[in-house]
Amino acid sequence: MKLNLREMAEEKKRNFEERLRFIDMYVEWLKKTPNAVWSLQQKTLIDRLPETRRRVSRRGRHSRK
Amino acid sequence: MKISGRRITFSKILNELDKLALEFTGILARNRVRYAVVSGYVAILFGRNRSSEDVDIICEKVGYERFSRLWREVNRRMECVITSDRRSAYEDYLLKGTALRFARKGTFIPNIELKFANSDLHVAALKKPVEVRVNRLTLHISPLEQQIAYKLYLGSEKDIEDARFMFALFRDHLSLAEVERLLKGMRIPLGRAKKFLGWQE
Repeated sequence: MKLNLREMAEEKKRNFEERLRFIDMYVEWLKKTPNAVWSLQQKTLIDRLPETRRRVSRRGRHSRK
Repeated sequence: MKISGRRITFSKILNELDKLALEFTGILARNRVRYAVVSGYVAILFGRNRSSEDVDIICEKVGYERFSRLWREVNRRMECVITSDRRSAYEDYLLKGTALRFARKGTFIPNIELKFANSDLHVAALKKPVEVRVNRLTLHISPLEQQIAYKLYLGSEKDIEDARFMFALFRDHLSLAEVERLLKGMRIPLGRAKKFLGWQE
């Protein structure tokens, strides 16, 4: 398969620009949303990370056995 | 969110990163060590919806005795995951400009990355930090203008996104002249920075 690197670079740039625009939308949402709502969503995302890591690492250990 | 001068006050439901940062900075404050939280966690503190493995903190250079007191207090609740040797932590790491990492006992992530201030930017951040009061707890962060400019200087997509977030959230409270001054000092072209920040006149 021949990869079109120029096309990939353009796609990468486009994705990045979309993410930047999305951040503006997110900030607008954040400003009009009660702190208890956005921070609960944030807590759900952040607090899940160490647990997910532990689970993945346990699974990795089991599969190596 | 209430912003007045160099103080930001707000409330939120604390996540594990917040709790770790507030606990550690509380210890620094009790030991009268000047510090500033810098980098990615600052954006997260204010609502950026991403996670991080660490909370970066710079602090003033302290002598070994003061460091020992700090070390003892930190080690009641957390442990240094780089070295368990206090003397080595101070001499082989902090004094040589390398960060120490502290996590809750028995864990590795998330952790606090602590290093002594070792640049003009660090010194400026310690001199004029922003006081953030969250749920009546206090922590110090480096000035928002500095956070934004430095994130653009670092330049990864994640860093630029953090800068965009901070700029969009605090736009009306920033000193744009100070952002410009810092960008110039870091040799970041203003046009490029404005594009990344969504900075329209």
